[in-house]
Amino acid sequence: MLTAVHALQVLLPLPYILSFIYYLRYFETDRAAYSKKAYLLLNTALFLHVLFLAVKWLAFRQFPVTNPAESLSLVAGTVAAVYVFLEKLSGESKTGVFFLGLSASAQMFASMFMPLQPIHSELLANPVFAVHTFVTVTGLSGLAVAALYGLMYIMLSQKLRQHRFGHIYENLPDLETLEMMGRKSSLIGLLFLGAGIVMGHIWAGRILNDPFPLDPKIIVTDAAWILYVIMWVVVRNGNLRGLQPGRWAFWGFIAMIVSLAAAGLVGDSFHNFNDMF
Amino acid sequence: MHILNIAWDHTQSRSDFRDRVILGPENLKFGLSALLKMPGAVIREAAALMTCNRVEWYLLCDDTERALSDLMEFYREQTGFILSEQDPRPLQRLDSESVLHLFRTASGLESLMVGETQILAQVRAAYELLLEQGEKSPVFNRLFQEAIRCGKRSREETGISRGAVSVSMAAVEMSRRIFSDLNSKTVLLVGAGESAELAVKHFQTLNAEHFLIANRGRERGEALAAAAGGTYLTLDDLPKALLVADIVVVVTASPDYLITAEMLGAAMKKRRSGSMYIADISSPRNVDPAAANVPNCFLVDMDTLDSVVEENLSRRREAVKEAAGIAAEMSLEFAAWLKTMDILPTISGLANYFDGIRKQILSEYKHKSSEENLQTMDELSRRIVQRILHNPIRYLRDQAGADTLDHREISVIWQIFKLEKMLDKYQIPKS
Repeated sequence: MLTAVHALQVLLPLPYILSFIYYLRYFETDRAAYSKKAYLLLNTALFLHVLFLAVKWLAFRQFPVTNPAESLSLVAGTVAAVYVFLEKLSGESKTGVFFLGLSASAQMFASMFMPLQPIHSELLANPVFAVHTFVTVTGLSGLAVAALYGLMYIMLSQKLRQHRFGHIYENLPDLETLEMMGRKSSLIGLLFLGAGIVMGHIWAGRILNDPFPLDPKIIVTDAAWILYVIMWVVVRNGNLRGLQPGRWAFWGFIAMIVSLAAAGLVGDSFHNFNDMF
Repeated sequence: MHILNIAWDHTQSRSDFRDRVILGPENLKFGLSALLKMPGAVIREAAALMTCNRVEWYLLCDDTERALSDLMEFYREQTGFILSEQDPRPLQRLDSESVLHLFRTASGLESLMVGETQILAQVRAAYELLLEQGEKSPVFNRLFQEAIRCGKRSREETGISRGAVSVSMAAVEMSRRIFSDLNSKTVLLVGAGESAELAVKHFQTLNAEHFLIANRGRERGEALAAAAGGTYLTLDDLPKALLVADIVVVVTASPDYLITAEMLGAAMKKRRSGSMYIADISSPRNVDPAAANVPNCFLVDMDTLDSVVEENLSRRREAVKEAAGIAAEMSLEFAAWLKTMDILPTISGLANYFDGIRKQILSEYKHKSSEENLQTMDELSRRIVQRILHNPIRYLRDQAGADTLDHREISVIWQIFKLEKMLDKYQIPKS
């Protein structure tokens, strides 16, 4: 079992990198054959990733997010999963290069620095907590993908305004498609993050007898999610289109990440699992 | 066997002359069959590519002089056209030159506007006509298939056809950087002149259906609205039209701004949804340049579009070398395939020789074995013959394709298997 874990750990970056290369070639040349290969490799990468998580879970009897490298690997996988879902939905492959660039480099670093024998965590051995972690990370990845689409929208709209018709202008999908993909990834992010937060509060209620502990990370995450929901409702009901939602998605995500990092630095966090057990 | 290309094109003839030698689809269909049935039957296969810029005949023949005179005779009989001293001489290309020319033509390299895409559809139409005429054309079938493939490859792998090369097309194409589907968008055209008409046509090729035509002159505006299947508006209706339009193309001769930044700002505030693309292709400008600062409005003017067109043209020029390389490479591949045609009689003869033996032996068992057994033996023997012939046929094709086939080897095969008899028996042409 350990051999399989280590083999998959070494092997996993490969299909991500290859998929990234093919998406890059598609972005450069517009040849459909490259996008087909890239999509196939991406699905292979995701299959191997699921296999890797399952095998590692079985081998160590805990969900593999016990260290930064494992968490980074999960982020790589969930970003790729959110993207593959969006590509399937829209049939648009031109943005794959950006997400696979992210996933491939994240997985490469994760595989390089992942300890062969992770420390044991009772909390992560619990399947409910594992699902909570997975769902929350997927939600954050969805919002990260939406932020990147927001950034692409801002970039392309600036190029159009400034009449600078270069490489990015020619190869990115149209603004409407970027907006649609950003909206869908925001929705995925909100739903998953919401589900993760609810599960987290239920879990906290069980083990701490307080579903709303005063943990800075939890407070920031909850607040960010509520703000995102408000933005979503405003965009949807106000029928807001164009640059504004793109800006919100991008800067909203940056603000959330900065706040989470600051919360981690400022106060003791419930999410410091090692201190808990 | 030669591939002869006889052509009058835009480089050496005027369009009024080409009008005399061009044939409509029905006449052409008849003409292609008629050429093959000319007395003496020197033309084995015939195809034609006829567009407003070129009248080209492709003839597969043994005697090129006779083929040309047959074509002229055909023209005289069918259309009354006789090539006089004053008329431009047709361009003549032979074999590899003909093939390369067709491949370059399909790639848009021989077009007036390098890389134009219409020619590929016209080559495809020529191919369809070839198929419709009903005569077997194995060489030209392959030739035109490869030409179409070459045209596609050149466009996919190089920038030969990328980017708009006219201002109105550039204005229309730029809207696709903002909107994914023009079918659901409302296009407002301010002006109803020739450029506006052209813009409507370009938008229609991109599936746009909802048009508003605003024009000072009612008659012309209504005419264009009717042609576009849209609605006519007066210039006073512009503020209202801006509330629903997603794409605005302004092309009038008005000396004033017809759309101001204030008008646009007010419209964008009221509609609160979606982006708006405005192309001002008037000179002087009819849209206030300050409109570019209105949120979610993307304004382009003539200068911008001119520079886009110039950039696209220069890129196409850069891609010519690359596309020419593809055409040359594919014409060489075709030439290699064509060489294998010379050994087709040998291959057919060999296949028939072994198949004859197989069938003869099987027939001896016809009354000695059950139907089921016979079927099994038939299948078995067929596979054995296929296996036996696989390597020799492959060897012959490879050697012929590489032009290294020694004709003495062919001669030995013919003598060993007495293929002369087989050719007569199965009516296989000897060359």
